[in-house]
Amino acid sequence: MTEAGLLVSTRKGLLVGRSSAGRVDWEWTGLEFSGWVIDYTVRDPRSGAIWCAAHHEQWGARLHRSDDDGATWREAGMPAFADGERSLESIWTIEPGAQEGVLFAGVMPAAVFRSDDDGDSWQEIESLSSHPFSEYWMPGAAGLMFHHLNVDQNDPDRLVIGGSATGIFASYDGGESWESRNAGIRSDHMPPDLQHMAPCVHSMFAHPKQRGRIWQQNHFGQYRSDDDGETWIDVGQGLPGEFGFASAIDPGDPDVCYYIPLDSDQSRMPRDGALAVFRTADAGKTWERLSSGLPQSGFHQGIFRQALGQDGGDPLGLYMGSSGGQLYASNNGGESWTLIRSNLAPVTAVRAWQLDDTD
Amino acid sequence: MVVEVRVEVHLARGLRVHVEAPDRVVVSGASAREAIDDLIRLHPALGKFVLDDARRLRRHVNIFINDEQLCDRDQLSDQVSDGDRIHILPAVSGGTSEDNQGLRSDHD
Repeated sequence: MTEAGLLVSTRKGLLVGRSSAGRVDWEWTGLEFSGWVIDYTVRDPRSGAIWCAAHHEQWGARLHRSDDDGATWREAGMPAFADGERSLESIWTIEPGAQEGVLFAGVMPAAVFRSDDDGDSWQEIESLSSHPFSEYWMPGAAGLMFHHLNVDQNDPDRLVIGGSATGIFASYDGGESWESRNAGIRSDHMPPDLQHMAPCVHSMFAHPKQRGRIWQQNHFGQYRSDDDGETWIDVGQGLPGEFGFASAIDPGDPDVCYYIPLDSDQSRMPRDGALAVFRTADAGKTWERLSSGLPQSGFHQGIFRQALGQDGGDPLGLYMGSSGGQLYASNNGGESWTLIRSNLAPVTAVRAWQLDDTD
Repeated sequence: MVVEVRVEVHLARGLRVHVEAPDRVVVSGASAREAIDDLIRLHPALGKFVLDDARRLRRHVNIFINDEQLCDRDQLSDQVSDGDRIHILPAVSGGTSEDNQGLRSDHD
C-alpha cells in the first residue's frame, strides 16, 4: 500500500504531512515558519532534501532546507541579484537539475538562478533575463516571475521554463541560450503581432516519459505540445472555462493531465460555486469531470497555480489546496476526494512524494 | 583629529522575534549607511532583514534617527551625530504588500 509525504505551503506557514498506508489517515507537523508566506516547498528526490521558499513582507525572502523530512531546518544560500538594481522578492519554484548538486530557482522579479553546490550559492542565468523578448514581459496580478521549471532528467542541457507573463522558453545548452516556445498561444493582453512575446503561463509540466510533451494552463486556455513547444494544440474543448491556474500530470502516463478550470479571470473561482477537477486520459481529446467528495455549491474560493500536487503513486494520489484554506486529497487518481485539513491560511502550493521503505 | 561618531541602534521586538540580536547595539558611523554597515558587521544575520539585494532599506522597514524618519531610503545618506539614536522598526504596512492594496492574494 502506498504511503505519501505532503508539503502544504500556506500564506502563514508550512505543514508537512505523512500518510498511513493507503493514503487515508495523515499525521502532521506543527506549523513551521509561522507568519511567513511560504511560496513553494518541494522535496528533491535525489537527496531527500526538502526546500522551502518563504518570504515576509517586512523581512524579505529566505530559502530553508531540511534533511530530516521537516523535523529540523537550516537556512540555505539565497539567490540574489548582483546588479544593484533589482531586489529578489520571492522564490516561486525550486527544481532539481539532472546533475548532482545542481538546482534551479525561478524567482520574482522574473529570473532563473542556478546552483551547482546543492543550494549553497546561486548565480543568475543572465542569458534569460536579457533575452530580447524580456522587454515585453509584463506582470500579471501576482507579479512578474518564473514559476514553473522543468529539467530533462535524462539530458541536463534540456530546460523548459514558464512564467507570468513571460511565456515559455526552452534551452538545449544548459541555459546558455533560450528559444521562445509560444507560437500559436492566445494572448489577449497583447496586440495581434506581439502575442508570442509574453503569454501568461499559469502552470506548465513537461512529461518525464515522453520527450517533447508539455501541458500548460494559460490565462487564455489549455494547451498541449508534442514537440517541445514548437507548436501547441488547444485542448480546451470540453472544459467549462479557458481560465484556470493549477494543473498536474501523471508521471506514469503522458496522456493524463488534470486541470481545474475557473469561471473567468474576473471571478477566479469555480463556476456556480461547484469545485471540480477535470481529467483527460486521451491526451486532451475528452475530459471527465471529477467532483465526488468536493463541495458542489457555495465554494467561493480559488485554487492557486501550484496548489494541485501529485505523488506519482499508482493509483495516483492528488492533493489540492484552496485559497480558503481547505485541503483535499484523492488516493485514486481523482475519482473521489476527502477533506483532510481545513481552516488553514490560503494554500499557495502543494507537493507530494511517495514514501519508500527507508522513510 | 577625526572624532568618532557613535550612535545607539535600537532594534524593535518585531525584528528580534525573527533573528537573534540584542535590543540595543552601539555602532560607529557618521551616516545612517555607515551606522547600518557597522551594525551588520557586528551582527551579520541582521543584514538581509534590514537591506535588500541592492542594499536599499527594505520596503516595509522603517528607520528613525531620534524622532525623524529617514529621508534617503535608497542610499541611507542621512547624517547622524554622536549620541544619536537609530530605531529600526517594522512598518505597519508589512501585513500586505503595497501593490496588493489588500484586495487580492499574491499567488493568483
